[in-house]
Amino acid sequence: MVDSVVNPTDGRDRVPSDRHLIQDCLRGDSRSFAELYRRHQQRVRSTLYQLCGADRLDDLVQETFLRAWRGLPKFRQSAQFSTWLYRIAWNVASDCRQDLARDRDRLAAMQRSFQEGGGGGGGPHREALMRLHYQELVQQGLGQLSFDTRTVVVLCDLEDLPQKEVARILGIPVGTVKSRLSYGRSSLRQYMERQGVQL
Amino acid sequence: MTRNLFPEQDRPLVDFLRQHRPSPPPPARDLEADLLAAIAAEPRPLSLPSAAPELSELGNQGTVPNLRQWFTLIPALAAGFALAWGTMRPPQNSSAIAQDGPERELAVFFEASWNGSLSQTASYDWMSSEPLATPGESLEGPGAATPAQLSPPPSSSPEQPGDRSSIQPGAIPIRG
Repeated sequence: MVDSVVNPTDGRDRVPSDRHLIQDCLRGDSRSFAELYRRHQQRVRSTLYQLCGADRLDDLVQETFLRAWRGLPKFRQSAQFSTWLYRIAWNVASDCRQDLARDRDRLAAMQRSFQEGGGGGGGPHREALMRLHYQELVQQGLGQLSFDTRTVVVLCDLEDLPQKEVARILGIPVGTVKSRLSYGRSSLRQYMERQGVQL
Repeated sequence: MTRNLFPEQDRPLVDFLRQHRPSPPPPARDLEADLLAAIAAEPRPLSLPSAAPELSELGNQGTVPNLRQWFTLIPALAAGFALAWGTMRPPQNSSAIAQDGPERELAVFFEASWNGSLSQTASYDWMSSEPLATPGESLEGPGAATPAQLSPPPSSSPEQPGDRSSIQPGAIPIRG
C-alpha cells in the first residue's frame, strides 16, 4: 500500500498516499476515489473471485467500492485503508455466500466435463489443459472448505497478507487465524492428493 | 511487515496454490465508469465530526468533539442543570403566591404544616388557622393527635360525625 505523505501543493511528482486521497474524497472529490479504485480493485477483485466465483464478480466489486464510498466518513484514518477495504469485501462476500453452493455445482460440472473429455491431446494443448485443470482443482479445493476457512486461506496464502492483518480484517484472534489456516491447508492437501496431485 | 511463515511441509502446497490460483475474469470495460456514475448519484460522503479525531491524527485539525459526543453531552448537561435547579432552588414563600382570601389561608396552612413537620412548631386548626398548641404544649407535632383529641368528647357537645373542625392536620379521625 502506498503510504507516502505528500504535500498537496507538491503532489504532482509523487504518488499521493491513500490517506491523502481519502481526505480529498471527503471533500467530495470523486476523482480521488477513482484513483483509490484503480489502486486496489485488482486485489479486491481477486479476493472476491476466490471467495464467490465469477458469476457476479463485477457487481460484487462495484458493491464493495460503493460501500467504501458511503463508509468513508466512518473510516478510522489510523487504520490501513486496504485492511478496511478487505473487510468490506469480506462482508460483501459473506452476503452472497448463499450463492456459493451453486458455484460448487458449476465447478463440479466443469470437472466432470473435463474428465469426460479425457483431458487428452499432447504438447502445448495438453499443458494448457493441465494448467486449466489445476486451476479448477484449486478453485474446487477452496470450494470444499467452509467459508470462514476459505477466507483465511485466500487472504493468507493467495493474497499473501500477514496473519495479523487477516485477524484485523476478520475481527478474530491471530490464534484463530492460525488454526483455520492449518486446518484449511491440511484439508486442501488431502483433497489435492485424492485428485492425484503430488505435493 | 512480516509475511506469513509456514511450516516446510506446507510450502509445496502454498506454492501450488499460488501458481495455479484461478485468475478472475477481466472487469467489464465500463465497470469503472459505472462505479463513478453510481458514486456521483450517491450523496457526497460528508466528513462528519466523528472523523475529526482520526483526521487530527494526520496533523490537520485539533481536537474537535464529534457529533455523537455532542448529542450525548448536551442532553446530559441540560438534565444536570434542571436537576440542580430543581433541588437547590429555595422554597417559595406562600405569601408571595397568595396575598389574601382563602388562598392565603390555605397557603399559610401548608406553610405551617411544612414547617411544623420539620421543626415541631405550633400546630394550626387547618380550617380556622388558629393555633391550637404552642411548641411547649405539644411535643408530638401537628401530625399527632393530642390526648384531648383522642379522648371522647364531652356529652354536652357531641361531635357530629364528619365534623372536621376538631380534626388536626395529620390526625386520624376516630369514627363512632
